[in-house]
Amino acid sequence: MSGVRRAGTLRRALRLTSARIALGIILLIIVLAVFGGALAPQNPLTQNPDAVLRGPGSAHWLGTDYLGRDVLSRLMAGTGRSVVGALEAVGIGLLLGVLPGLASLWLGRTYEWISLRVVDAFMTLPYVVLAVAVTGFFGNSLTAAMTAVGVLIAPLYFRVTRAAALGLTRTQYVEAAELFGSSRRRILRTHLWSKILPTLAVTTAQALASALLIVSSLAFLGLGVEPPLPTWGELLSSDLDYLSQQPWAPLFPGLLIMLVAGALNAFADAIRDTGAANDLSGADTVSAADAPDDLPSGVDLVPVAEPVLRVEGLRVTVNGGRTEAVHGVSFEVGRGEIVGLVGESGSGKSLTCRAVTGLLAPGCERSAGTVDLLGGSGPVDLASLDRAGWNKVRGPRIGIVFQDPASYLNPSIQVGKQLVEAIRAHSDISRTEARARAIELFTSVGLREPETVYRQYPHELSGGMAQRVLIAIAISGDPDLLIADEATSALDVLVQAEVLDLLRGLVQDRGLALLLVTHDLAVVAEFCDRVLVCDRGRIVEQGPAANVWPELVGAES
Amino acid sequence: MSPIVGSLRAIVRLVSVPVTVFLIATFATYALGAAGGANPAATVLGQDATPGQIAQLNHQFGLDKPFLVQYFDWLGHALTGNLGVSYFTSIPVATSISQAFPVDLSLAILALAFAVVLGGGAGILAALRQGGWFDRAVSAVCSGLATVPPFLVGITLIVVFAVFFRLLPSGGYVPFTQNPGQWLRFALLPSLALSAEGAAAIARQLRTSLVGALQENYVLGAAARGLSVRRTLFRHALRNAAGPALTVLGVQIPLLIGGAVVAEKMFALPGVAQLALQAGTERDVPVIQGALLVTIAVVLVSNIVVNAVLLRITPQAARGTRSARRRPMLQATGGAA
Amino acid sequence: MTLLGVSDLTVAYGDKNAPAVLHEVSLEVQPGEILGVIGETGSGKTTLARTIVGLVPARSGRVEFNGVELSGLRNRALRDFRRRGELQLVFQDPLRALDPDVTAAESIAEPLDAAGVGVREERVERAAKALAAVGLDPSLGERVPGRLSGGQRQRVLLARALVTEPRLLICDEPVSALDAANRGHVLRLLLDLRDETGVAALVISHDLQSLSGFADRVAVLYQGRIVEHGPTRHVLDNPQHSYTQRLLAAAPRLRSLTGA
Repeated sequence: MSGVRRAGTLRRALRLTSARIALGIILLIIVLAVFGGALAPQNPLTQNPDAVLRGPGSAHWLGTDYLGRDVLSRLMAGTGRSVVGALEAVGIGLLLGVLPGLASLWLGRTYEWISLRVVDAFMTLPYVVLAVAVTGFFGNSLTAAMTAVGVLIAPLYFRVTRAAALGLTRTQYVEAAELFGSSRRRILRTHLWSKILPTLAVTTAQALASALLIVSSLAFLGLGVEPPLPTWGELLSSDLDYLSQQPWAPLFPGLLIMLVAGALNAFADAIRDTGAANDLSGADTVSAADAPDDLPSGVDLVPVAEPVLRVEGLRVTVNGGRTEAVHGVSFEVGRGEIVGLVGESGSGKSLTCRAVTGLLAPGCERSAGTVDLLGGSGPVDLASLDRAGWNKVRGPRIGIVFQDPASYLNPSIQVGKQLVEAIRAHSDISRTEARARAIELFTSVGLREPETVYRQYPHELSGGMAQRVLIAIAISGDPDLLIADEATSALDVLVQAEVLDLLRGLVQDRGLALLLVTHDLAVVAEFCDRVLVCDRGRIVEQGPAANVWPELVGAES
Repeated sequence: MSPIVGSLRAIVRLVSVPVTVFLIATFATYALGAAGGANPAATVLGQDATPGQIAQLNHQFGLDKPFLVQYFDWLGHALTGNLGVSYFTSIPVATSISQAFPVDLSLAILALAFAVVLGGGAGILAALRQGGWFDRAVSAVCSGLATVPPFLVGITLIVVFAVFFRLLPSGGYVPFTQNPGQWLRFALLPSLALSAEGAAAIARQLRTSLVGALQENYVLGAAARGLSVRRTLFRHALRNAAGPALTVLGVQIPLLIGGAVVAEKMFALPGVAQLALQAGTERDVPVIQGALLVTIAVVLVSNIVVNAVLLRITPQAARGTRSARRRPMLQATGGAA
Repeated sequence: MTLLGVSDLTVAYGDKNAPAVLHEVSLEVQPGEILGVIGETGSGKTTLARTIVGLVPARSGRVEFNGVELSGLRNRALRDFRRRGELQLVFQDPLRALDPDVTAAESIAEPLDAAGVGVREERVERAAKALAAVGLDPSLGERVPGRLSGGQRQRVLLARALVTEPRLLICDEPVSALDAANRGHVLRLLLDLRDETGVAALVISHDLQSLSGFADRVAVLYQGRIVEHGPTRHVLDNPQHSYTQRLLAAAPRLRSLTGA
């Protein structure tokens, strides 16, 4: 069952009720479009001067218009032309957009540049304005108006196709296929087509919905209307002249258009959502496979001299409270001490760390236990804090450093300004003073050209530099406790060693307590005074690295 | 490479795209006008015109020249503010358009303001109360608006405010320069109607990108530094989330102009679109082409403005593209893909 | 005869003024040999792999494979060379290098399909054999990558590279995405394959530890240059370049601790 190839996107989408209702409406409209004229209770063109502007009644279910024609019949008979108009526009867009969009990836730079500019040029033209112009130039017909609209839908298809295919051609599996000597047609067939198709289906459903709305807008302006033949838009526009007599009249064609457009959009959403949902479910299955078996027993809290952080009986639930992932963790971290919290991914070490810092992701919650900050300017019960309370703790009491440091900095703001912001959030000093302090901090974390770094954006920094910036920000409030959550894991060996040396220096110089959360045994063994080994939500070993080490090797392999 | 050559290159790169797009768009629309085969001489002079008269009129309109010469003549004149003369009224097209344009401009600015305030406010609140009743209401209204013909919003406004409550006029116009208060009375309903689509698009995009931004690590980082909620939202999350919303706003501008055509007709406003619609029924090619040219120019100028603002709020985008080229593209950096 | 010869390879991204990512890199791989290339992020090691197989154009220098100059091949000739499958790249991240919608067996058969080898049944059979060769149960071939574990995916990637019976594998960080247990398995598998089929390998890694006791020779890549190369034991025991010395100084605790 688990190994079966994915079912078609369409079939999966149709498991949703909304998609089935939407498809039902779309099928009904297709039937109406084909047979609407024949099924209409009365001749939609027959005028009746004795029954103009009648309200709904038994003779005319939806009333009559200003010429006494039956509104229901005109709506049914008008379906065909409205739908054909929209299809025509979307068809032209599809035809002119998809192939040039794919070609823009493969036919070389010149073609790419020119085709992009042509697309830009068409995108400057509003649908309605071009339709006005085209019908002005070529005469007023539905075909002329919808051709104009279709030409402007083409850029949409061009962009959607190009964007989807561009992302795919940069994937490694397409690169791999190229390295096997696969032809472009083969690559298109095996790797691209099945992934672009749902996107095109979504785009087409949305484009049809907008085309229907555009047809009616144009009909309102008298464009593409060929009296006396009815379309939904034409019905709407003729109702407008009699608003004061029949203010509810636009309701019927309006509701019909809304119903169809709504069905098309709902259908598009269903396809898109099931596509996205499937990707997630695929990723989930693997991690769910390692089921917990024999759970290890946890160790008790070992008190230290001069504790800065005390965690007791901490339990954390995930999945909105359904699953418990941390089962009663207790430990202390003392002043001037480096404690390693080590474990494999999924052992609960990150959740513990997040719970201590109050940064649990949505759906995760501390369900039991206490977390206390001690020493310094008095004890704080972290478990009781609200957001404002946390803002007084994070910075002056706890500094936090993360893995992938650049992502924890705002990409649009110079890193120096972000440090200044952090400094000024916790002390009343002027901008100039804060700037001087920032340069000082940058120097103290070993950044060689602090003035240059100050003006750089996060993505311009190397991993090691970004981590130093983050450390500078973390210690800017002069905290008692520094928590490093996999802070060196993504760095190269040499850079990692430098950053660890920096952290050790900070612990020694400032008397910080450092909680180092990591999966890297070597780092822990080399660097930490004490180790806490996390396994399946419990702390199973604790003590000086040298004592814990032999057992640790056994647990890992 | 000297700094002067460098900045010259930068300017060329900045200008080359809009200029090319302008040329392609105007050429395409001009060619369309020519291909339409409207015969102004026959139309203007009527059925009984002699071939001599027709030839003379064609010469007068410059229609006897080769097509490319006509286009560049027209474009050259257009750039000096001369858009030719209407086939029918003999009024210079530039004059008619410059009279009608302020109507649209004032309307569009008001509509844009509505769209940004209503859409932006709704989007931010929806993102902050993600999953709450307000969020659900906003997405319901937005998807509702996406299925409603744009003019139906206008009709509803007219029925409610003009027909039913008789609070505001259902049509007509007073220039802003003449009487701002009256202008607002007349402009309120059309610009509200006009803003609906844009407001929905902005609300939707801002909600999506703000929800995304709030899940970014840098927001967590801001919390880890003890920054206040308001500061985190406005200085960090919103700044980065505003980019996509602004891009959507840029895309909305052609739609806004298209909507203006409908609004003008519905509210009987004397704008450019009315001019073009009238010209369309008469196949008055110079007027239509003039209106197209103005539309293209307005869209391009607003795109340039949007891009300039984008560069200001997300400066790393500009520096990023330049430095990214120098770096290997496929460095495996781990983390979330 | 030298299997792969890279001489004076210089690579840069962007225009003429862009700084080079690789500077005059030269190295050789003999048939059946395992050459390790070690370098940190940004040293140009991924670029090296991608340039050798032709995904990135070189600014200057030559890449020769079995006497054919690869850097001179274009279009048709390049495609024909690739379809022979004598040189295969094993990507770093199997999750990205495998199409999420294509089953493992189909992915493995893809190089054969592209080359049009034999009839369909034959290709299916060879794919199944490759799957067995990397120690995977044949039933796993029906799964899409999302339903395989990380170690299994890495093996599928290896099987796909082996299915054409290549003479040289270029492995870009073949084990960095795996946990400690799976690392050992995959590396041992590579060694076994070398012994059985005589396939040579150029293995790129940032992790000195995974190369020691595995590669016959190592080359150290630092800031786009090969700063040191030689037999693995020799380089590890007696590093000449200061970068290698620092690298080893940062790493010995790893060796003593994991006891490899």
